[in-house]
Amino acid sequence: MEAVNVRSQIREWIGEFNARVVTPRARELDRNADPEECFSWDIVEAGDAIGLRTLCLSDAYGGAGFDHVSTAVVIEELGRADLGTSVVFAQTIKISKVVESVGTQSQKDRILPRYRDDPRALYAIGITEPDNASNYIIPHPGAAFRTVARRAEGGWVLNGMKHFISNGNRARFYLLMAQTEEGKDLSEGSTCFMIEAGSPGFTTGRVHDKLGERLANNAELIFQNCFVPDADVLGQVGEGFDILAKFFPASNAWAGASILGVADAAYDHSVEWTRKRVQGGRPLIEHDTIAITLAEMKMELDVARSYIHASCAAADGVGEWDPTMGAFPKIAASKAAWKVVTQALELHGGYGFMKDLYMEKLLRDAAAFLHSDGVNRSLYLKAARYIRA
Amino acid sequence: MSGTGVVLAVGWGDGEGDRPGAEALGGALAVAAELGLTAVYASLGDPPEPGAEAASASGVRALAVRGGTGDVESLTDQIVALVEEFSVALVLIAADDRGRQLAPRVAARAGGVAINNATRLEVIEGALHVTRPVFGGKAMCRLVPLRVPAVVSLRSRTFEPPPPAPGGSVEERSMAVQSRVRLIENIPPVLEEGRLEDARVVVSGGRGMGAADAFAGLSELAAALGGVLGASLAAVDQGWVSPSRQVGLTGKVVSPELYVAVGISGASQHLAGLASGVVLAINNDAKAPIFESAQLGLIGDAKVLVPALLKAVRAARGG
Amino acid sequence: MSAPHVVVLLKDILDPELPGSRFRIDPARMEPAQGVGSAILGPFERSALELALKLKDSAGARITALSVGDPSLLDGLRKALAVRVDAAVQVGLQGAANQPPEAIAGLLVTALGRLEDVDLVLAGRQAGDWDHGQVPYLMAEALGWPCVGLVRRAWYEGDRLQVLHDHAGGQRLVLVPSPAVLTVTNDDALLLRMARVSDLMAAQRRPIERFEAGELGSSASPPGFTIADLWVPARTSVCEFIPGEGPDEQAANLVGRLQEMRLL
Repeated sequence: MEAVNVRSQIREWIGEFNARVVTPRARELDRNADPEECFSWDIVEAGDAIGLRTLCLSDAYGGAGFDHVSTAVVIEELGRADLGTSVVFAQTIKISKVVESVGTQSQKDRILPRYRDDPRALYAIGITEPDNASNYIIPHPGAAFRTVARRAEGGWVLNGMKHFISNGNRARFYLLMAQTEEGKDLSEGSTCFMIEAGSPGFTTGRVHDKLGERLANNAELIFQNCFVPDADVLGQVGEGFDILAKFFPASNAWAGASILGVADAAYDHSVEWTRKRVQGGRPLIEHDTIAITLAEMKMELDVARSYIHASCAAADGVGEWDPTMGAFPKIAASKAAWKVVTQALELHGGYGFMKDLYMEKLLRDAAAFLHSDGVNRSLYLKAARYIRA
Repeated sequence: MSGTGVVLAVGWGDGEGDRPGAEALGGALAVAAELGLTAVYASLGDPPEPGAEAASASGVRALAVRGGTGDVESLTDQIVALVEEFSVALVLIAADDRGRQLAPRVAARAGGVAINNATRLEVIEGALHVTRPVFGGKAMCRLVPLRVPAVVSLRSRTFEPPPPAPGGSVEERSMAVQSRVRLIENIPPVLEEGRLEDARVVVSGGRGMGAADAFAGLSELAAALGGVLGASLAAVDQGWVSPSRQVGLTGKVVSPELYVAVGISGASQHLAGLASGVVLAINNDAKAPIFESAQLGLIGDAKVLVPALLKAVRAARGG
Repeated sequence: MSAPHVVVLLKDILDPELPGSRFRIDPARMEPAQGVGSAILGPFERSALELALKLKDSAGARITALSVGDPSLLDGLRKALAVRVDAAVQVGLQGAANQPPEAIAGLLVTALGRLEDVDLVLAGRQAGDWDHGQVPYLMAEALGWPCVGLVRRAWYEGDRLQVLHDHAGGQRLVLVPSPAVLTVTNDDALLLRMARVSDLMAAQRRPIERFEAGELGSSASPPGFTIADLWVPARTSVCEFIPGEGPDEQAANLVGRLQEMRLL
């Protein structure tokens, strides 16, 4: 009873945030042609004011110590108002949590108070490269990161580039995966570095012009002889992939939560629309075929949510963790979202096809997670490895 | 309510006449005989308002009481003194901002009971019954006061003022009162064109307007229709329009011939501010509750309908 | 001056946005039917709470949220705790929301007497359900305290309270001695701030001091009025929807209709 009460409190709280801060801005921002104009610092600062950036950090770093399930609820509710907003916060919450989980006391004390105190401080993680994307989900021998870290005195010198990085051009703090051992594949020879914006030799490049999820910016990260001291290695040298193993469980379920929010919005609109629109002599919802479609949509969403919450609970230590929980929840949610949003598009008829209605943005946003946080095919293959093993 | 006693109607004028006080007098005259009470009128404004003249001309004892400051503390003291002097069984006042504060304070001080926002007074088997809206106007309740004095504030237009008549005498009184609240600065009302309360046509915008600049178009439409701009509580809370434009239970009560509600859902206390008039609702949502109370409806986006309507109205007026 | 102790009066009311068509009366009990809608913290209470918090920000005021409510209904108090009031107190009374104003005022005055010296009581101008708008004024008279209504701003200059409130269509700036009662009206500067997440969670665990209405033993004076009837007015208007293909035709048709009705 208590857990359900907390969830509904969280939904109401984020619902208020959405109504005051996100919904009044989202459509207009999304329509800007220049992707950099789609991002809003007002939204980030308003989220900071209620404690979103530090949601999962411990009290020592100004955080609320939220568990995985409650965080999933926050991320889903933000997604209900706008996907990009959900992703901006989900990423920064995720990665800051990894830093607290993995970092040494000295590293945490050096970085997290500064993260906590800057209302605009966001986190990004640089993994994806032009030639290495699904490769790190389905590693195969020979695939090494093209971003390379060469040993130097007291540290490492980085060269290479990443792209498609969420918050890439907006973050102040980064985790960066680079190859530290030649001849090994990225799962065995990579290291996770902590880097800050403005470091010599580190610049951001192009900001990608995306089909959807436009309130989040994705960008290139460029490294030209960028020096990173030993003290800024997160975890052990050569064990960067373990960071990803720690990082993936939260990432997958929470990514599912973001896209689920989009589908929730489409479903809610569909219910309201079919109650008002009259054809065939009565409101659409009173035609059985429409009512059944709505029922199907709701079930899809409830199933995906249950899976996300079960995986989050297992990550919190309640229930048994199955390695496929690091792959399936996002697949389930993104498939459900795509199906629900396209069904919603059909239910809205010709009106739904008009740009001035909300469906157009929801459709573009719903497309994002067919690939984001792991192309679904690659995640299936990753899960299959556990089945085969 | 026993056979000896007074129904006291009180007005306090605001410098532009005292219609609310005169309406209270109309109420007193309507119920006095059936309740076996004698009507007395007191004007607490300075100078005495026409209401006092009308009262005495109607054969009602009329007092003009000077010496107050017009604030609630001062009015309370003066009314309580009159209640004690005249064995008042029933006090009738306007349910304006001051009246609704006065009623409970006078009642508490005088050992009686207060009822705010009355829309009807009836005498049933010798007892006073007071009807008032509740739950934002979604329901009505009828209350019977059990103590004297009953202090009832009346919604505007519940009663008509007695017909004005010259002659009759007004007793001048002086009642100096001290207020514990000290005035530092008086900020008089901004004289905007057209008082909502007197407007023949009101065009109000609500949350559905979406932004402050949408109200410029509504203002033009109001002007073209020969009316005045209003707003719902939600629009005022968003900071889109001045609070002086607010219509509703806690805003102004209006009684136009035509009330145009644009982007107002109608699910709140807004319509409680509407005493009369044909309601035309313009809303994107065919299921909006406002259509349950409207006589005319236009379904569509205000952003296109308001300019179209403005054009059509101007054309019809040949302007 | 030591930090002033400000008490904010809260009431959870039936959601005023409930559409009229869903509203039902229980005729036997003369009150809204059970379960007809959810209870929320009233809109004017929110303004009063925000004003109290501004006094905390500016003058270090200590804030106690006080409510007479159904023992099972603590939402408003939890919300107040989530925005960092210093203490929360409930006087538990079954069916509190539908009690007459005198009964509530009496309980609140008695409860105030149990709290540490109170300098200021803030209340919404009326609760958004029964709309009596009496409780704070009855309390001021019972306490013998000065009272200013329809306040929009309040701040301390030294130990003197300056208040901006609505008066006769305009406004006044006044000096109010302590202790006093203020009622607060809606204002876009009084939009209740959002809770920080850690405070939202902590609020669930913070203690709420509870009194039972009976134990407060406030004098049960005979009621001031009885409710003879409570009803939902029949919806007599049938809305005539003006047809038209597109806004220009709709507008033309509407103007025609208004001219027919002699409203134009």
